[in-house]
Amino acid sequence: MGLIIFNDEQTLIQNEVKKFVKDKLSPIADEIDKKEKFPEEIITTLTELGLMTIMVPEDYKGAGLDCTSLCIAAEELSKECASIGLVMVVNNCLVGYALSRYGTQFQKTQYLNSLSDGVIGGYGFCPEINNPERLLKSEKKGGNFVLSRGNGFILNGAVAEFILFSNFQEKKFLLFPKQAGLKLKNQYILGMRSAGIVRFEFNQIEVPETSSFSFDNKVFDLAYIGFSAVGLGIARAALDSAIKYAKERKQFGRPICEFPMVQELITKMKIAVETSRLLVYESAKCFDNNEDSSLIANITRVYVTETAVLCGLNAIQVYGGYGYTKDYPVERYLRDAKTLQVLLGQPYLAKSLIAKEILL
Amino acid sequence: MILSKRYQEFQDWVRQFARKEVAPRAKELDKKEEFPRDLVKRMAELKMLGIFIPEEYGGAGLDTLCYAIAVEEVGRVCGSTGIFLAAHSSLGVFPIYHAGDEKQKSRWLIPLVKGEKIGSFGLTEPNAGSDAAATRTTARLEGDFYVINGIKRFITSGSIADIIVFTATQDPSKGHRGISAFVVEKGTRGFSYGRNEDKLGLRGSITSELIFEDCRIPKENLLGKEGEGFKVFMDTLDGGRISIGALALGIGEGALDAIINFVQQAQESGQPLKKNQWIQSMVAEIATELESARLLVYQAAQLKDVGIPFIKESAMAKYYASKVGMKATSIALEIFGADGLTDEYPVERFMRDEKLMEIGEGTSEIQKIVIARQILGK
Repeated sequence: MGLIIFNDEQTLIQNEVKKFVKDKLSPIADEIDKKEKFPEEIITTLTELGLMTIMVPEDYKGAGLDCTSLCIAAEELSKECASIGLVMVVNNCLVGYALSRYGTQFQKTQYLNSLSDGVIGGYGFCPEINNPERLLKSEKKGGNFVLSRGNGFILNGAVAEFILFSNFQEKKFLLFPKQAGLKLKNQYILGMRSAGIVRFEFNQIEVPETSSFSFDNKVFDLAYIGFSAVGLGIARAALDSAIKYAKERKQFGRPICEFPMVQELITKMKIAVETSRLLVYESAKCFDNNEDSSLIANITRVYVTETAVLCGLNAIQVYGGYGYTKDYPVERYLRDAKTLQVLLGQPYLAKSLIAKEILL
Repeated sequence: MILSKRYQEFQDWVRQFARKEVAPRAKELDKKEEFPRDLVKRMAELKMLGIFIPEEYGGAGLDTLCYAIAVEEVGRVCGSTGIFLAAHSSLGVFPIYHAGDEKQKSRWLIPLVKGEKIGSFGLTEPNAGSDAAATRTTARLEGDFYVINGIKRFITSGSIADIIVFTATQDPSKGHRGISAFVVEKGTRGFSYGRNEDKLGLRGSITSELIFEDCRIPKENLLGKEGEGFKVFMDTLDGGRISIGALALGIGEGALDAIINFVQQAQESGQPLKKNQWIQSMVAEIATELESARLLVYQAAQLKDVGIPFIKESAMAKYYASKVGMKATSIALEIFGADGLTDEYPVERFMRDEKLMEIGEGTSEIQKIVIARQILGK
């Protein structure tokens, strides 16, 4: 594959992350997943390596690297542990990038600066499609946003010291420290169970308008690309597992990789993984070149997260009964992939954005 | 498909039972990995544990179609209870009814149908999955006993079962012709359970390893004739596929029920979600596919009931129902979005449960081989 060409700096990042994954993460990845707890120690190491602030400008003590570098790191981390990849992407895209692109000088000094010291930021949102009684209720009163109702999620919420909440109704990000009036719940969630995703309910919370800022689609373009890099990592992990197992497992006197029906399951995965890789790095390049990346980011998000789900399903199928148990990681790939696919919104919303761009 | 009045009445009745008594338990059974003994007792009282077994053996004296409808309706609210019902009936009860002599039927079939005992079926082994004829569990005749050695894996209801039908070979060199079917009862010396599997879904159902170590079972525990065990098991699985097809269908319909409920109440940007064409498209597609799956499942059941060969049709029913069921449960999450990932809604559970339907009692790949052989010849 010659279409994806990394520059020296990006290649260096790739080698470093690979080395970190091999030496430090691999030996404990399984344990992290089994515990289903936010892996604080590993995240501290990621902070030391600069990965938690890989895209934060150097002026704010970040690594100041580009979206391609972010994707390289996210892909490699997620191949071993998607929850860790997600934590890192959320911190960089939905917190770090949002602050550096839209935040006031004060907000940057106060919050953005703290990320490289190991402070984790959370990203909060209320799903916008549900029973009206569960949707966000936000009003402006005096100089405040009053959030009196709403059920939502905070990504990185288990350890976040401050939260960027996207108030889509007002097209504003609200920035606030973890505070009273925010009922946090550690609720069960299908996948990404080590990523510290928490559920919350608003119970009359007021945020001054001065702690808010407007945003455009750029931050979500970046987030979708970052999420897709996580999906690519999951898909590759599932593919590698399926290949390994199909070569080892024997039935009817030969390795099952010799059977065309197994070959079909795995070739479908391979084709989708290779296509996904091209999409992820093509959209990252668009983003880095400052081109309008909205269309490609949405295309990438739809295709790559779907690929991750397909790879999870097919990997379980190749493993058969074994794949249905927690003795092997493939059932986790499916849970993580499906979680990633719908976490930031229904895939049809992304498709309708694509349609809008090319048709309307 | 228009069901005759008799089946409609049965469907209404079993649906009421499932919604009133099984549905409220489903979430908790999954969470706590709890096997629903009380529901088993209740189903026994309602004669649901031997739906297609004649009344003389304590059964309901109904047929395969009623049975498929029952598994579908139970699965529609709880996959774990559904798989118990399917495994107990198709895999525990059926082979004894099908291949047992009168003495064996009175000894094992009646207590199973009455729910006094739980049944299970041991075919799969660590190295004999799709290749079921590769059974390595051995049976050696010693006087009036068979001495059994080997390990079975992924056995539904294994460690809670009282009566287990299983296969063992008396001569591995003979392949499937060396295989016989036997019954072992809980508590027999040399028979024990390994650990229960920690699974993606169906967490309220038990899946275990069975271990035979010089386990001596009396000669009269042979089911059918020596060397005919593989046939007994293949016949069992042909029927079992109908129930897994019905369960796959039921779980898919459960996801569709949840989607309908959600979409009818939800709004997007102040508009009713049900008016959104993206949603309409997905719902229409899923509903049509599930309806087709229902036709295939009911057709296979009816063929079995009238005694027409149904191998191809039961394989098609299981293959297709599990495929479109998997798609339905997966799309359910795409409609619910992040909220669907939590246990406030049942959709993520349906997705986890449904994946087994493409694997258990013959993977989709095996079903395709069965179908192709029936169409193209061996």
